[in-house]
Amino acid sequence: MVDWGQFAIVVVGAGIGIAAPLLIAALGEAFAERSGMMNLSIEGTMSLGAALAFIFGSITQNAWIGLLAGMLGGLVIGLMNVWMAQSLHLNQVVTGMSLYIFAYGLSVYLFRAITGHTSTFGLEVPRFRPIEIPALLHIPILGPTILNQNVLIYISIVLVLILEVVMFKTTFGLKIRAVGENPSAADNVGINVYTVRYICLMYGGAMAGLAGAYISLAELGLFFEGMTAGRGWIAIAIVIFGAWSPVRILAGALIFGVIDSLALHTMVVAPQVPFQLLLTLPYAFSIAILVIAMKRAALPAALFKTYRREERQLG
Amino acid sequence: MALGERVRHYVGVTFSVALSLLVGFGLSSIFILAIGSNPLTAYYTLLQGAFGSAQSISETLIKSIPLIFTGLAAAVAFKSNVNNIGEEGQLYMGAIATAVVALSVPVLPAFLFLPLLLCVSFLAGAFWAGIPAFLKIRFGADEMLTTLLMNWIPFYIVSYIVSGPFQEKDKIRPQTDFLPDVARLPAFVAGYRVHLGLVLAIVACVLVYVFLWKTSLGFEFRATGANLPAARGMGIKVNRRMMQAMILSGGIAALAGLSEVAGTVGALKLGSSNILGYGYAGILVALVTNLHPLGVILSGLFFGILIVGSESMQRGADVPIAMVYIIEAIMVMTIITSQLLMRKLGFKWLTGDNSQSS
Repeated sequence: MVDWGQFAIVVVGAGIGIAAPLLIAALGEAFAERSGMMNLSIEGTMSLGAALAFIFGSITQNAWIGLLAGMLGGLVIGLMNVWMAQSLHLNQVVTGMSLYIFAYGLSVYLFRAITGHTSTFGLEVPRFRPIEIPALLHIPILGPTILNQNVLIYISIVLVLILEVVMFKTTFGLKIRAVGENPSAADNVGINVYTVRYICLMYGGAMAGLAGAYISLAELGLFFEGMTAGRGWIAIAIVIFGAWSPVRILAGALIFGVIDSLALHTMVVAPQVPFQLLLTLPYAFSIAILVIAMKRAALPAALFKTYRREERQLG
Repeated sequence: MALGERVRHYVGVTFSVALSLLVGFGLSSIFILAIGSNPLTAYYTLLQGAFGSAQSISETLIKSIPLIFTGLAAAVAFKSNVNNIGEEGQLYMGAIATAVVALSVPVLPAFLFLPLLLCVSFLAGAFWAGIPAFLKIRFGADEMLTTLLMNWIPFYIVSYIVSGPFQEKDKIRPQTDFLPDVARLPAFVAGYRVHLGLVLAIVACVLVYVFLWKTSLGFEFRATGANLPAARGMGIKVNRRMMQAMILSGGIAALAGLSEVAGTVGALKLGSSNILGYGYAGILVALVTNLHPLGVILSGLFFGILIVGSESMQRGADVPIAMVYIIEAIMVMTIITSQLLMRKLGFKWLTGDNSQSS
């Protein structure tokens, strides 16, 4: 007999852990897309972040330095993407897809080149572990779900609030949205489209790197080829699901995380249930949300469109 | 194009591609040198692995088949102003349809069975691509995002099918039973695995080329892709053309699934999508050829060579297999950049009527 209350707590607790890297990557991608640039390289960037975080965390025996290395790696990929897509006016699908492959290959390559190992077997890395404060753990429901997570999860929740304010309450947020909506109008009122997009893409890349670092340093304590397992692509789905706003992205990431966790746990307690079909639901929802978002014009109008200054409409 | 112009065009394209490949292999050498291997040995073992024996040539061709199909699918769509990045999902739909039909219907003679599978897999992919096309035209939902989102749904359906209703007899491995022999794409050289899928892929490329460049409907597809407002102004029903292009693209991508299930593998397996799925790679296959259906045959082969060769590169020159991804990415970037440079320098004739404004 399954204790369903306990089952729900376990599912939600694990779901929050699954949601964290998705949330972090999506928070970065949301800003990139708001500025009008699609960054399709996230999946590879996450892998690179995971590798660099493990490598440098392991060398320095300091998880925070590892984290920083992962973010820097992601930032560089973001920089390459915006340089090719915005400054060279290359097609964003080409730049995103080729950097995805590049960063993915680079992650495995650098791991081998720097550590000299082909697997993390025998390498130690300090990890971000759940903060287990006994007094808090005994609080019913909250204790075993949100009060026993690692510090990165709390940081990312605070980040959600900060980013929500940045996007909707600051001048810079207004500039980002203006650039994504109508770059030539933004240019006409003196906003530097290039600067805004460079900042957003570099930041978005760093967040994807951080998401990867989360997987290698907090979740698994390992690095192996393919460990991001498509989660970068899911982050893109969550950005759409969250209609490009940080608080809704948090909700979206939690829903994806809990459904994923539910599917995994269902597989254990009730293997006859077709849990895979459950996993398709978030994607179907995302498509529905996209259609609604189009009606409400929530989609950044200039998404995917490379801005060429010489084509600016004067007037 | 006049004949002389055409010759100059192809000479120019060949020259710029050759130069990009040279630059690309040069840049990749830096990475190979940095881990203490010899780039020339590495490239030699790569080519040896892809072409060293008749058997390895057959493997290279096999790896190229799905890439040619998905590359062609991407080319048709992008050429017609619909940015289909859902080839991965459409491929899966084709694979699912092939396996389910082949394992459900009573055994038919091969001359009926194969056309039946061809039709159902094409229709499954066409249907799957038709949904985002409809959402784009009816609601304006961006097709890049919807096609991307729709890639995972078939992935989970496969996972369900191979562990549920269609799991193999022993109920152990996550795969279906093997298809009956009459439902398999036959190998056409005795002793080698390369199968009819290769012929289908090449025929598909030729047909699409003829369609796009030699028929008036094809012209309307290309006009829609080249300049949407102008095409509308000419009286072309652009929405209908984009819808048709998307459906055609989805159907072609699905044939990659048919070729894997009924040809190369013989069954539907979980995780037959490698990390860089054929669907995603196909987009790059198409883009490096500037969306040319016949160019896709060559670039599909090129990617196939890299994939097969990288395994022997690891064995022979101690270069990690992941190096192939770095090489692929560098090649795509150098080829795309060379196209851009040529256009910038005013070599309009280099891209000729294939030039695409994006």
